[in-house]
Amino acid sequence: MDDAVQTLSNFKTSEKDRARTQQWIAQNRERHLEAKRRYYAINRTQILEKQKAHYAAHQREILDRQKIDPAVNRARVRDWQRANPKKRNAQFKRARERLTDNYVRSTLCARTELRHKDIPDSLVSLQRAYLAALRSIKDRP
Amino acid sequence: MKTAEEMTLELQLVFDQLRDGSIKPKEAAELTNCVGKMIGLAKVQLEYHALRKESPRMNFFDTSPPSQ
Repeated sequence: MDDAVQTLSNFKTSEKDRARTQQWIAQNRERHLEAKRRYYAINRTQILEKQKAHYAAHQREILDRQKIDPAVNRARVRDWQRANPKKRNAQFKRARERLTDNYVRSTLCARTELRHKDIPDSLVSLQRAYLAALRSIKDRP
Repeated sequence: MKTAEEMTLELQLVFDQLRDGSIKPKEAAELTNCVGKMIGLAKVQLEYHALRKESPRMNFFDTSPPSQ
């Protein structure tokens, strides 16, 4: 076996290591969350791009497997939404609660000529923080 | 505050302060309202450029990792 591969294989985490890591996380919850937050803040752009690419690839894979044209699929989704208004409302409610990317973009595009793709990610983050702050202020007496 | 990212961080700070109680809800509401106005302005700018089919580089939307 190659030296590098051998070295890498030594770093493979065992069940025991994983259990120890989980135990450490449980004991140092705040430190763990702080480290995660710091990592996300530093690599935010790359992480978002990676997630988007992964999601798009997954969607393409599903459509390719079913041999469906994306435009036809969009029309199909729209038809389903019209046919199931209650389920659509539930979807929207969930999105509003979770402040999903799609929901935040839709709030920015409302009553404008803008499309979802026109909105930069930084503005989406800002709008999300703005909506969260508005909610927390409303909740206060 | 020069970019949208910096404003987001600032708003998160306000959010945390509101939770701690170190800032009054009224004060937080004023700051949040200001951010709302800025978002509105940014939207108008975006719409203007979208209608003119332009895509200029706008400093306000710049994204850069925060300095440690």
